[in-house]
Amino acid sequence: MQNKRTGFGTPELLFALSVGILLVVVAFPMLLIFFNAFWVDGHFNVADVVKVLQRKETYQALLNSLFLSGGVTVTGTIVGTFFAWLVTRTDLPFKKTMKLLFLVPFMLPAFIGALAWKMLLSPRAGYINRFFMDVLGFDNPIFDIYTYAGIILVETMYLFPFVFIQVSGALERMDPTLEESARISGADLFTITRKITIPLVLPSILSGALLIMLYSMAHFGTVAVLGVETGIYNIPVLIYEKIHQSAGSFDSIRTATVLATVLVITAALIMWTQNRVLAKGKYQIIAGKSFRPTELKLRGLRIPLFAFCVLYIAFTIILPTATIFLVGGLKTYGLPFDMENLTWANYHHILFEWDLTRDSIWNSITLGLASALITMFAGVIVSYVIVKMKVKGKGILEFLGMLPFSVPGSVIALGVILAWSGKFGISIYNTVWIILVAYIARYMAFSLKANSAALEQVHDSLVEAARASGATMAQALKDVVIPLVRPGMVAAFFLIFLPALRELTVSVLLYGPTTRTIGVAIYTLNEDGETVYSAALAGIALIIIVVGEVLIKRLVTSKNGA
Amino acid sequence: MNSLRIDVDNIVFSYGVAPLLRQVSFSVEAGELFAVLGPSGSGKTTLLRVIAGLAQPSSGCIRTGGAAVDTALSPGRNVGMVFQSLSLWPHMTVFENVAFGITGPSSERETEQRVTNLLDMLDIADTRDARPDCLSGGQRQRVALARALVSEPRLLLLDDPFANVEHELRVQMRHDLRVVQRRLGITTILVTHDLEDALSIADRVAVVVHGVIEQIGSPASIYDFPSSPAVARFVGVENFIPGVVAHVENQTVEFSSPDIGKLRWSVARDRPAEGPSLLSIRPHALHIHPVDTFRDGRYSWFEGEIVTSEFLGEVVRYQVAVGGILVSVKQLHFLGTPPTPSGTPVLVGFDPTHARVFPG
Repeated sequence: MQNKRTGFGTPELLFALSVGILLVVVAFPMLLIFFNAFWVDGHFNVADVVKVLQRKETYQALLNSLFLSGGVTVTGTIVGTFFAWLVTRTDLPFKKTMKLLFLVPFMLPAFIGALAWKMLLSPRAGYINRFFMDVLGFDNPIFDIYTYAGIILVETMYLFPFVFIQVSGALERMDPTLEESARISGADLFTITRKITIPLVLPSILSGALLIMLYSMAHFGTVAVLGVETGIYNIPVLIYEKIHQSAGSFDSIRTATVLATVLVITAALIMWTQNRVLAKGKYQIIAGKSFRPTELKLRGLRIPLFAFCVLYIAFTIILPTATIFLVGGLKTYGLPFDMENLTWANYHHILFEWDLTRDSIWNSITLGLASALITMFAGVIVSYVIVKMKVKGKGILEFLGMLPFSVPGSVIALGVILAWSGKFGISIYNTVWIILVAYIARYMAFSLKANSAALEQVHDSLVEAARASGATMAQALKDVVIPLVRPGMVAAFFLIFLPALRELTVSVLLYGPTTRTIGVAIYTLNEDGETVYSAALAGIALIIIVVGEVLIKRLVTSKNGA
Repeated sequence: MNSLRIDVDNIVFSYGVAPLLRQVSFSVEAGELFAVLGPSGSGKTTLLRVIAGLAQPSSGCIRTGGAAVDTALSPGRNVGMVFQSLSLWPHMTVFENVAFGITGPSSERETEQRVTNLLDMLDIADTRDARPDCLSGGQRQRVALARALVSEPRLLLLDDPFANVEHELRVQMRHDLRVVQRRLGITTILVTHDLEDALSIADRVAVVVHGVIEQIGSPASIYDFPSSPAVARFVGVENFIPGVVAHVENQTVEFSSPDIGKLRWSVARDRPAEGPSLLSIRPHALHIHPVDTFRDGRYSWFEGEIVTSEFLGEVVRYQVAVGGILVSVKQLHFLGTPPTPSGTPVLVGFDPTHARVFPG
């Protein structure tokens, strides 16, 4: 784009605006974390950081985070790869439906799942355990969900789709003749799988595995819900405890910033490894015109494996969801699910009578809408500068914009607390505004990805043609660029709105007495022993989320079709 | 390498409702290079996959050396195949790619020897430790060929291997392929959508349209005597003039068309059937002359008017309006002669023995 004026025109304004947005929203809070972690009494101090890390609770949190996320990564990768192979390369019945069903866990918030599993498998009160002990006469509970294994199991159920999506995509797109040429050479299926298929999809497997690890490392909800009884905590949970239960003392803030620094470094390492894996394994295995890959005949295993998939889906999706709704309808937690114990009163109460829950629904919806709208527009401006403008220093913009993608939610929340609690003249702590600022920082990367992708499709010559026809830069943007990137903006909006509705990790660190979000309300009700109301609200949240997802799918597909 | 005769017998292949291949039969002699030529979607790749054993025909069988073979792929099949996408394994070196093709037990030294020999023969020995994505298009082509040949197959199948290659390299590569194929004497089936590929290197060509073999013959016979309008179109005939054939006198045929009038010529044998017909003629068999030219009796003549003229360098291509139709004419360009402008009335002449008449 040619701009011969030396003054301050539209491009300069856009650039300044982008830098401003990212500096204030992303860079400033992040810097404050490192500053607070390493800057003590006016000088740089590493010894203190080491001291904090040597405390038992700190390195225990670190070890737990590594152990839990490591475990989830291994199990999630195995489960995800296996199901991906099953739905793409075998003659499993109803493969297409199965494929959609395996993606459902992505929609459901893991911490709501954790609540359900607590109700089913807590050692004494869990319905399944009680069924085995009271009805079948077992002496001990058959499974204790309040353990490392329990937490890993629950997280696996909700995170395996990361690997499933990557691997099934790779297996579907892979040129089938790569395997056929091995068959022609006389290799058997086992050899082909070992020497051709697995090496070719390995980058996808690894990349999905690293996403699981990244997510699990930063995940608050499941560990907070299931680990609290037995004292299992990871880094995000410890940060939460430090901020919430120590009344914001200097020492606890410092400990939190050190923990956050550890989390950021780990996440950066994971992202770096992932980039390496993807760069190294970027094989051109995608087929042009081709035939469908040969399906493996499961023969005798076809029906048993199908039954296994159905059972898996029933056990991991239907059972917990049904439990949430049933428990939400109980007169008192712990009663058996008889008609006489079930009532609509709880749902009525939390929807129409109780301010706390009504506020939380209102807060989540308004926060979701506001953050999605703001981030969508800010994202367009920043991506425009990154993708289209030839200005110096836009690499910095790109880095700043994508930073929150790998920065865990609890770190963002902590940074926002440090920045906007009055130390720098602005105090919005305990208001919805601080949550809004944090959401914007957290979801900026989503918006940048969607908008950059859309903008890359808009060729420069389109703008040049508008300028040649006499339009000003601003007119060209309004009449040419914006209409063309609108689908990207719509995508960005929903990519932000839906996750924001169910957000817990960030808001749990930032909420005040009247600013609970849905996630926070569910979590705190559960903490306070209000299990029934917690479940009822979770049920309503599930309805809002699922209806939202379906409506949006409809909207997006009908728009694309037109 | 001992070569093998292959018989394809009544192959039917259905996928969904419409059959992709309908009763396809042909034989390939030992050591022959046989081309299957057809437009995309004609079923030619499916045919090759059936022969390779990658796809199961609904009925019919394949015989090699006179003996029927199981149509399922088995390690003993001993077929080499080069895919359109080449399908080189990106995670293996050239050596590993080629060595993977060795079937059956082979000592390390033997493998080394066989791969090295082949790489030498195909002139790609210096790429042996490179990965496929570092190679040029021509080198990748050769690696794919080496992998197909390393197990010393008795049948080589090539699925449009030159499809994604620019013209100059294509000419070189098909020449090289022909040389290697002759040298090894290996029975080869080449599937292609490109007329020039098929005509230039094949011993015989089969034209497949909509899953049916329309014609089998030598390249020149297919080009000169297409058996149907579909084949004619595919081998570059552009003009199809509707009319009616009548037999007059002995050995004389009359073709009357509402557009170009009446033509007469004599034929010794293969007289076209009487009735409604299509007269087909190549653009370069037609000649344009000024309207006052003397009409040579050996030629057929009709009058028209030039609608468009395109100068293509070696030739000038005209669209001539005759009656209610447009006729394509290609004229060799001579130094210093400008193309005849559009709007000029012209006389078009042709040797009727160069025309083909199909029942229409």
